[in-house]
Amino acid sequence: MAPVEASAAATAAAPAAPEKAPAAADQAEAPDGGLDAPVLLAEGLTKRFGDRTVVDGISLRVGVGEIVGFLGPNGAGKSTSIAMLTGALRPDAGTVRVAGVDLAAEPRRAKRLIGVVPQEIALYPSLTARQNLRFFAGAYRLPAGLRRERIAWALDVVDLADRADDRVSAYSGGMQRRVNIAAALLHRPRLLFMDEPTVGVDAQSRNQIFEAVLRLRDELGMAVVYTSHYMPEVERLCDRFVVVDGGRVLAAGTHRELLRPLGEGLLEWAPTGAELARLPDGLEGLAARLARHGDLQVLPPSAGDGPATLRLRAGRMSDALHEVAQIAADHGIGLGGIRLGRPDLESLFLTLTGRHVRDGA
Amino acid sequence: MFTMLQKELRVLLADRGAMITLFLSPIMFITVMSLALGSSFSHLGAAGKISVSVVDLDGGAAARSLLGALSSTGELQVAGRTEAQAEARVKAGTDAFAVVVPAGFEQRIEQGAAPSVRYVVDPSAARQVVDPLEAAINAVVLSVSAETRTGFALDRLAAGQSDPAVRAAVAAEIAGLSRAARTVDATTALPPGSKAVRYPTVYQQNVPGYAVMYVFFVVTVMAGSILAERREGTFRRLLSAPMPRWQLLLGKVAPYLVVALAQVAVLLAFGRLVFGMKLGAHPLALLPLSAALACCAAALGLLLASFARTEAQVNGLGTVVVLVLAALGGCMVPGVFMPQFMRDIADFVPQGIALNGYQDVLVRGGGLGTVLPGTGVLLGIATVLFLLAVPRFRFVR
Ligand SMILES: Nc1ncnc2c1ncn2[C@@H]1O[C@H](COP(=O)(O)OP(=O)(O)OP(=O)(O)O)[C@@H](O)[C@H]1O
Ligand SMILES: [Mg+2]
Repeated sequence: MAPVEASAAATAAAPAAPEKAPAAADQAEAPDGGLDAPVLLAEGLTKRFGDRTVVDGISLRVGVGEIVGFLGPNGAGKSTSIAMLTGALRPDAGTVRVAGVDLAAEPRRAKRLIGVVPQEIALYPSLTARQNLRFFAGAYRLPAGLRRERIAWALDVVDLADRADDRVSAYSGGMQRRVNIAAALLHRPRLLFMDEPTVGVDAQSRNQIFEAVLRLRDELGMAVVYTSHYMPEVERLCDRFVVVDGGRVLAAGTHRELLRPLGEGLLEWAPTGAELARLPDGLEGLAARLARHGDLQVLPPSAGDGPATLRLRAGRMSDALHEVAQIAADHGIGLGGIRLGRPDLESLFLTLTGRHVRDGA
Repeated sequence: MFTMLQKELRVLLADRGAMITLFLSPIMFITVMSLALGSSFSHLGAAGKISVSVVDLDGGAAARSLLGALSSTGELQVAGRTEAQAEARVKAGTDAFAVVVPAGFEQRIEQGAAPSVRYVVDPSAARQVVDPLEAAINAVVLSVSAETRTGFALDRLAAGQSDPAVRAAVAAEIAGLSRAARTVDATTALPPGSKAVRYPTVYQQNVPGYAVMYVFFVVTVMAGSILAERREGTFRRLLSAPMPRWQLLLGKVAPYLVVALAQVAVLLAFGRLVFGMKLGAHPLALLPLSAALACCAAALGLLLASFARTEAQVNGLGTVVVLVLAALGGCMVPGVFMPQFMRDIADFVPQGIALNGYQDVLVRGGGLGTVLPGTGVLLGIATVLFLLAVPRFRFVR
């Protein structure tokens, strides 16, 4: 189902790390700190539950200070991959190296370099935010003298310093999400996994979370693997994207690299019932005729659309519009049912998986 | 490790339901059940003699002699009463038993007929209590009647004698009759090596009984908290922390050992301070026993968490297991009230083993040596449960 060249691009192209990536002095120390060495290098990760292969040979490369969007519909295997990448789950096959340290061979050394924001709000609701953070600081073996300072810093990053002594259960969803993030920052990891950190969060909290992520990258050179269903959010935040479904990488690359095959524009054409009745071969006939034009490609129907919708990709928008107008005129159909769009991740998703990202599995 | 302990206890302290289950509920049970069962325990052993009324409708010497004979056994608390009083006491359950000596009692004996008495019995009294009592009193009646009849015969013999010396000798014989007829020179001994039989007071039964029972509610609380950590993803977070899994597991189990020990300490202190329960000669011997008991409960909690899929299963299954084991172990109904096969079962149930050990110390004054075998068995059971649990244990769903 994955069309074109996408799946081949799995581990290709880790773009050079952004210029501003100072390996901050007090950050967890890594053995091979070369700026061009990847902070995460995973190869062939595989996980089976019973006879279901949930993650099927995923490879991933993340450079220092890079923010990578890890995208896929529900059940694609994102959380399972993250569990393997953070040492919470043993892979059936594949290797993970964090800044050169093999996660399987030296788990404790590798784990010190990793932070994880789980998809769930992984906190003790009956404790205060500060008590939660104190506990996780202990679990990360932070020296006692450093804990107070790091907790204050993490609370500041997520902008929660003034409510730190309230019970987590008394927080709003957005605040809980922010504490969930703070708990992953205490040991200043070089690589942070964020599994849908903005679910159920309002626009204001979401913006605060974005700012926190950017600040971590800019101030500490932290690399981030970011999972989300909300495309506009990741488009804004991420330097690079990896699209997965069915446990495989379908595409990887920068925004521009990924969208290039989608051409200049997108068209959605939904003729009215009366217009459809006038078509000699119905919608299929129309599709066939459009497909004959070299610059137009008919995309697979998506689950969310109505039955009588054609989705087209246009190499050059002006040519495509000309052609469509011609065909419409030939059949006496108006152009009212046509919608134009620029390609974006959402449409890439639809192209690759035939599903909207936010559709249930 | 200390951090994990601190966190776990904080979370637990904030969980009002768990605190009620683990601490408040056993205190209430101990109080209510002790008040409710106080009287049935007072029939037991040291708690008091069985009280019996004797109603004398005959008024003769033989009847008086019967009353004296019953009083002198030392096993019964005998009092002469009117028929109405005696019946009222039996009806009220104050006495299990009343002996009515009918009019003409002495006359029948004198005529050589079988002596007759009537028993008034509480219809709800246990046959185990009433039957031996009837038999014993029958025996006393027989001995009194035999003695009376011999007395009459000797009297008649004496009346036919003219020699004062012989008369005096016969009179002395009559006077000595009752002593010889009634006194048995018996001593009681236990088979060598067996424990002295002592019955627990109602508190010595209920306090350790409910303590042992409620220590096992750690099972549901602990398993529930493990499932909550699994559901909320805190385990997932901790798994990615630089900490080996065994430490994480230990950090989850150890706090509940502390909780179980705290339960035992609180409940024993409650029994001691509020009800004045005796702790026996070597209360420190309770420590290793309680630690082993706590290990058993924690291991069972781990096992439940390894097999249960939902928190509802934990609560349902956990509660059933805990209540059934407590009943089998004699935590609710004391062993002395149970048939032998149930007592045999209790010897194989952790609750029964522990309770037996507690009572060895509290009631029978046992020390460290007495509780070590039970402690060993409990640790063995805990090890088996732990080994069953660990291979199946999952930190994430
Ligand atoms: N422990 C498990 N046992 C069996 N199946 C599992 C287990 N964990 C995950 N799965 C299955 O693996 C698939 C991938 O799950 P995963 O949580 O990785 O998806 P995801 O991409 O994170 O989805 P979502 O967007 O819903 O979070 C799902 O179909 C899920 O049901
Ligand atoms: Mg997920």
